Amino acid sequence: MIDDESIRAAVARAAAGDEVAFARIVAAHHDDMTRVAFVVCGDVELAQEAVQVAWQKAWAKLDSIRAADRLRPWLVSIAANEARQLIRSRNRRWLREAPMEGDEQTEPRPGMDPASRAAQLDLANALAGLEPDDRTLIALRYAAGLTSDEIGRAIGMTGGGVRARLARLLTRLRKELHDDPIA
Amino acid sequence: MTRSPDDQIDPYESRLTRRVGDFAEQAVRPVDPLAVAAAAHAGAQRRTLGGRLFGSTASMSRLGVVFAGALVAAAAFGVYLNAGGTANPGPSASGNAPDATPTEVAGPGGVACSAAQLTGEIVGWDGAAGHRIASLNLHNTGPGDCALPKLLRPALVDADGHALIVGALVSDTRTLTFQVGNAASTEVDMANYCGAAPTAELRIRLYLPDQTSFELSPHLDVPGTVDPPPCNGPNAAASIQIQAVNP
Repeated sequence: MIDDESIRAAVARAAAGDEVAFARIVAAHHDDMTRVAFVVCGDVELAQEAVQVAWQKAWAKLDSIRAADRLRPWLVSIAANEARQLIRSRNRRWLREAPMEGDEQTEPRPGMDPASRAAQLDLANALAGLEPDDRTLIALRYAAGLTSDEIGRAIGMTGGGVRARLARLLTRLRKELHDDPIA
Repeated sequence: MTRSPDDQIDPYESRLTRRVGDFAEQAVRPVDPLAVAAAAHAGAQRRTLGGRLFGSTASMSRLGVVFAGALVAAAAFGVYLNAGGTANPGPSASGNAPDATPTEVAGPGGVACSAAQLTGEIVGWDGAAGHRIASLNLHNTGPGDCALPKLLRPALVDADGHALIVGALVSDTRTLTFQVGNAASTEVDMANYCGAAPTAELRIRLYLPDQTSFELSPHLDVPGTVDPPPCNGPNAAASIQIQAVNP
């Protein structure tokens, strides 16, 4: 993790065209952007493509960032938006199908027990049933850990509006995922 | 690792954060941040140029018309060169030179060299007036002949792989045919490194147009210390430049 002062310095140098400084920002935020894009689009390759495009846009507009604490919300929201755009442009639905027996493409990750695998599939199916806007909220909140106010600034809503919408989504997901009311 | 939001709406959020975090982790792959940065830089430049030429809804057909026009212009320029004209800077494209040296071609020629088939070593490290000049030997280990860019994008990196200085994007598209088993040479000139002390030993990384790269370490016989170029002034930019590759 790099501190705010280092981020400010890196942003200033990167905005002036310093690739090494930009690479420090990439190192700090690429994984978060990938997680967010994946939750929005449900496809690993599409998520990676979205993040690469997001970095291009971030490069072009980095000088618009004035406060270091705005950088991370800004970057992950660009990644989310690009993932949505890619789904739309390719007329694709967020879809994950249950793995077939012996299907090497959908083999669970090494070390993942069957119960965890099943839980992931349940979540994938639940996300697939949401609208892209709602998946974006879920991604920014639970994959990137943004506050309601940060999400609101990123997507043009009030913090209160974000909280109300998330509360409705939580109720829906808790029901679909058969999670206990209190974890 | 996924972070938890610090303005909890519902106790269920912590559980959902773990579930979503575990789920999203499957998409994370290791990347080379410098390569991502370089690709972002190149992509942003293309977007800017594309936007200026065509606007945001540019069609590929319009791009094709411009590209075809550029080819016609390049062909006309070649006719001019063969008629005795000169081109600056750098060497001009050759015609059908009947010698055994690698062939220089303008633009893409043959199969592009991949980073996997290129190796090399630093065979000289000289200091001069605040600069360091690395002499490099490159090798094509196969499996086949390939088109090597005359100008490669250089970076000075330390033993941990951190880039200390990175060269500018290369727009020159000239290539030479690099035959299997052959060697080529070039020099990299570096100046004004004012960063933290790097981890020895230093290497030179060379980027191909697709932003893949290969690295060259000092050969055992390199005399002296392979050190970064001295800091000539922290307010001035560091620089690294490469000469055209010589067969």
